[in-house]
Amino acid sequence: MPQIEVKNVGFQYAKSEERDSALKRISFSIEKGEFVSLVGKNGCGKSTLAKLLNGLFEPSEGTVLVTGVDTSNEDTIFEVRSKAGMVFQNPDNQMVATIVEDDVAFGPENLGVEPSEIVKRVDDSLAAVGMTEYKTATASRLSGGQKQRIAIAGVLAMKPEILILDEATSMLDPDGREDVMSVVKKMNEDGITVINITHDMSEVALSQRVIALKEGEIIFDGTPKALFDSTEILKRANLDLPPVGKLKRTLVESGIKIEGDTLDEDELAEEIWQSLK
Amino acid sequence: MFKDIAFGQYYPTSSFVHNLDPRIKLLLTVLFIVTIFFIQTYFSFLVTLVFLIVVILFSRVPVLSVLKSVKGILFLVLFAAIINLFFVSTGEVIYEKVITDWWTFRITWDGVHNSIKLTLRLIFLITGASIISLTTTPMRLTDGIESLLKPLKVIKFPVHDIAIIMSIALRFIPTLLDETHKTINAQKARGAAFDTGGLIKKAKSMLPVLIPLFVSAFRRADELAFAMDARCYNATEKRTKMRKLKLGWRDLIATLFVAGYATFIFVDRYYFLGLDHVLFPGVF
Ligand SMILES: Nc1ncnc2c1ncn2[C@@H]1O[C@H](COP(=O)(O)OP(=O)(O)O)[C@@H](O)[C@H]1O
Ligand SMILES: [Mg+2]
Repeated sequence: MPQIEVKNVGFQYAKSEERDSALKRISFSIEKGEFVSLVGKNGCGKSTLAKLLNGLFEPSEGTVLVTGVDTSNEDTIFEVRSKAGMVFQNPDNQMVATIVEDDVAFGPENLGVEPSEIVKRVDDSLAAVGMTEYKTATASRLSGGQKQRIAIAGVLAMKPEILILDEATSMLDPDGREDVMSVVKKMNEDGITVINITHDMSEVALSQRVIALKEGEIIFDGTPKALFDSTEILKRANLDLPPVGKLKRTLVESGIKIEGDTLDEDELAEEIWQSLK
Repeated sequence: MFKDIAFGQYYPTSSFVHNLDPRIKLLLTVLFIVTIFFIQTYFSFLVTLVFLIVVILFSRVPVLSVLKSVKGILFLVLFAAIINLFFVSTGEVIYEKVITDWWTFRITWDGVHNSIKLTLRLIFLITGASIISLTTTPMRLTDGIESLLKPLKVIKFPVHDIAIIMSIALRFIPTLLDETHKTINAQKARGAAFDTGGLIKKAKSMLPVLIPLFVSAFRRADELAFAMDARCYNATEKRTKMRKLKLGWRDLIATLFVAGYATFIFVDRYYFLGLDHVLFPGVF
């Protein structure tokens, strides 16, 4: 059984007409441990989809199953939300507490976890995102990247199986972005499924699978490589190649032969070196 | 303009005062503030000063952070003191001038003493309040308030909701102040003038700051609500707390210490010890 199943899901914000749907009868499933990027132009329905995946929204039609549990069921909603944790775009608008450790403890406190266990989870989660030394710091004085790592720790403290990031790096500087993405990658290696909504094609290159949306419909579902190879889909989804991909394309177009299909900077450098020898 | 606001600025360290139960700290702060208004003699003010110095030493908070919050209200204190000076007209007259036939400008010794005592009271009050906010995280503070107000649950008072609202408000004060500052600078960069013109013009010039601030506050509230839902927020009894409130030996010592101080002040007031005469001979 797939970990997430989205079956014929449609969603309308108001009781509007069918054609105004934010999502139009989409279906897909995600297996445990996958690292999926969700891309598409502003307003194409990415955030709406993310909120459907952890029960913040109930689908207008169709069903969303998370680890087999229906997100429309009121009785099991906290089970769904604790399993599919979510990190939002603006780091300032998702902190509940002034002090870092209090904020990380918020999720487990809501779930009714024993106090001694909460203390342990807070310590473990802060260690996992590399923020142990900021345990008693004032959250508002941290950098954007640090705040987002605290937000991830807050999700980890609920022992999730899925981590959903809704443009979590878009307000960060390059260093903050890199820190957050390396934490996310580590989470994924530890077995947590990651769904990363992003406009940054180098983040897409880190994932195993990309789903591209356009006007509430899935127009692509495949590997990053397949996406980057398809000029037509890139154009339709209003996407660009990552810098490495652009360089490679320019090199190929000007007649330099590149063998492999890497999206990694170092590997590409190696290949250019090989082809020049 | 908002940089000096130290309220709600927790100073992270570990100390005797930091580790007190927040409920005890709240109750003792209330006791202290009440006591301040019973101070009569300069000797009692001196005792209060020593008392506060001892508390600050045991809180391991830099004196500068405490003074900063006092600085924030200095203007208010001076204003109150000056009003007092002019409007108290009893006691031995120092200076007198007839302005009109129905008002004589008069400064008296009673007025001078009143002003000095009022100033000291306000400064001590702010010092006391800032010590509790410097040594207690907002979360612990609101946990304490929630616990103290628990009896009100009987009359269906939403104690828990009030507590979470307070802690979120405290959490967003620095964020919103920061944003205000940025908006003011952005408007200044477009040529807005905030420091010139009369009162009405000044108030009007704040509109382009307040409107974006309100809009953004609502957007923040909306996003925060989603973030809290996503982290399974619910206001039910099932919720637990990372730190259970527990009284310890420290709380007993602190209570005895503050109670001792308060007793001294009351004794000095009602069974006038007359120490001011010993201390400042000639003046009294
Ligand atoms: N709160 C809302 N009320 C009404 N319509 C909304 C709301 N939020 C988003 N929409 C609309 O739904 C569509 C999808 O939005 P969203 O999921 O936020 O897109 P994305 O995250 O991809 O930028 C957009 O057309 C947007 O205008
Ligand atoms: Mg979005």
